[in-house]
Amino acid sequence: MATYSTNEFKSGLKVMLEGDPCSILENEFVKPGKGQAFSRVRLRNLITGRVWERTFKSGESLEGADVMDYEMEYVYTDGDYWHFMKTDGSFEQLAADQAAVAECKQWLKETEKYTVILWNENPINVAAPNFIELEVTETDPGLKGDTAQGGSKPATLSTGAVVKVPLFINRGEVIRIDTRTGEYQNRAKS
Amino acid sequence: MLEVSTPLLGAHTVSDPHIASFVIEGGAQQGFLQTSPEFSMKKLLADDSGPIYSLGPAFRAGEMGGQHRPEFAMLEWYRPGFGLGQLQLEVISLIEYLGQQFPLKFPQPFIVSYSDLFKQRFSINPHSADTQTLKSIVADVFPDHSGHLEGQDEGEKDDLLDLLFALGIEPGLQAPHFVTGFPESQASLARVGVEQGDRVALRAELYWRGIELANGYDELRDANELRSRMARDNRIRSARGLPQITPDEALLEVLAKIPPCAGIALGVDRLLMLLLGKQRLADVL
Repeated sequence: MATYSTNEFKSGLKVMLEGDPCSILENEFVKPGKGQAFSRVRLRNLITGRVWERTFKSGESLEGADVMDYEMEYVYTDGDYWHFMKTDGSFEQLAADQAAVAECKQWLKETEKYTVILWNENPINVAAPNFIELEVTETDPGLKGDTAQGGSKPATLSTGAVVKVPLFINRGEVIRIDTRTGEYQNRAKS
Repeated sequence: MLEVSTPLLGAHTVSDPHIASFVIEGGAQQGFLQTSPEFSMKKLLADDSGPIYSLGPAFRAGEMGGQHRPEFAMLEWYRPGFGLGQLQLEVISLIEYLGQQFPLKFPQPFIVSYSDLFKQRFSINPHSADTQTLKSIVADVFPDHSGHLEGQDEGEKDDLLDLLFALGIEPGLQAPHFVTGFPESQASLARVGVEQGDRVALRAELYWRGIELANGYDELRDANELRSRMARDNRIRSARGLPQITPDEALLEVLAKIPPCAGIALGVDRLLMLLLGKQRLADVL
């Protein structure tokens, strides 16, 4: 794998730090007077999702991380692993473990497409699309006429996720959810 | 004061391990884009130029960021007969004068020693502290930053001081401050004197809003001393795989003829940026 020097650090570059693949978020050049120059770097650890801040001497280098983003379709789970299929026509399937799907498990719907981050060909993170349409499988009966007023109630979706929905939503309806906030957006048009 | 115009392309360049010059190749010839007009101006001073100033571009390879550009405008001037204190007052009047054109006012700077800044922030004397002490402070205060500073050579202590200064002290210099009395090892082309029992470089750096604006020296006039500093720079360069710098013999030859003087270089783009209340050079260039 190639190595990258601090002057090549830029947002989006994937590098290895302390054994984990990281994505560089920001790189700031700092240099006191005639002194040593440093790069103050913010990186997202792609395994834990935590943001790290590190200072490197200018000219230091880090090993690149073999990290690729793939669009993949969710196929099924066997209970231990969640299986995804590449959409590039290869039909290649990969299994993601609990840690990789932790963040988006409640948004996993068959045939929906997800962004899967592969490190050395292994899925380390699965990200849901920003918006997803899911069926309401359980909620209190809707209140007729109450379409504009505030007020909400919990609804269980086909994936098991529980979200707050307006009072007029009924079981069996398909709704659109913002997966980043878990908030109801609207009834799906269909 | 006389305005002078000095060559941008020189046969020699500075030896500071942390300043990289652009090297220009032209067939059998080679030159360096000047990192400041300092060498040329000192040769003029040695030739009895009297007080002189230069306003023009300076070049530093590899410097790029919010407050750094590989090419920037530098105002540099020398005052025979001045000490650093007098020169600092002149810098203040200049900025106050220029500031009349801008809505932002330049408050009267504080004057503080490098040593006092380290005592206040880290409870150590930076001049006498050893590298082990500095390393443990870095590890304590900036645990996220401690893993990548290996390198055991003569420059190691300065690199640790630079890290502590850049991360722990510079950001606090929001109001204008002149920082004086730098470590002897960071004297560059400044004379060395004694302050509070420590040998220190007679250097003054002006900071405003956490950004270095100007760097002034009580100018070194001792060629042997400069030669030995250049040799040290080259030893550090060699340990770090950086190119060796051939001393400018013409400068060393006339150094003793320079009258006692103080000189300072001011980053014009940065001053404009600060007077306009901007955060990044890109906003004013």
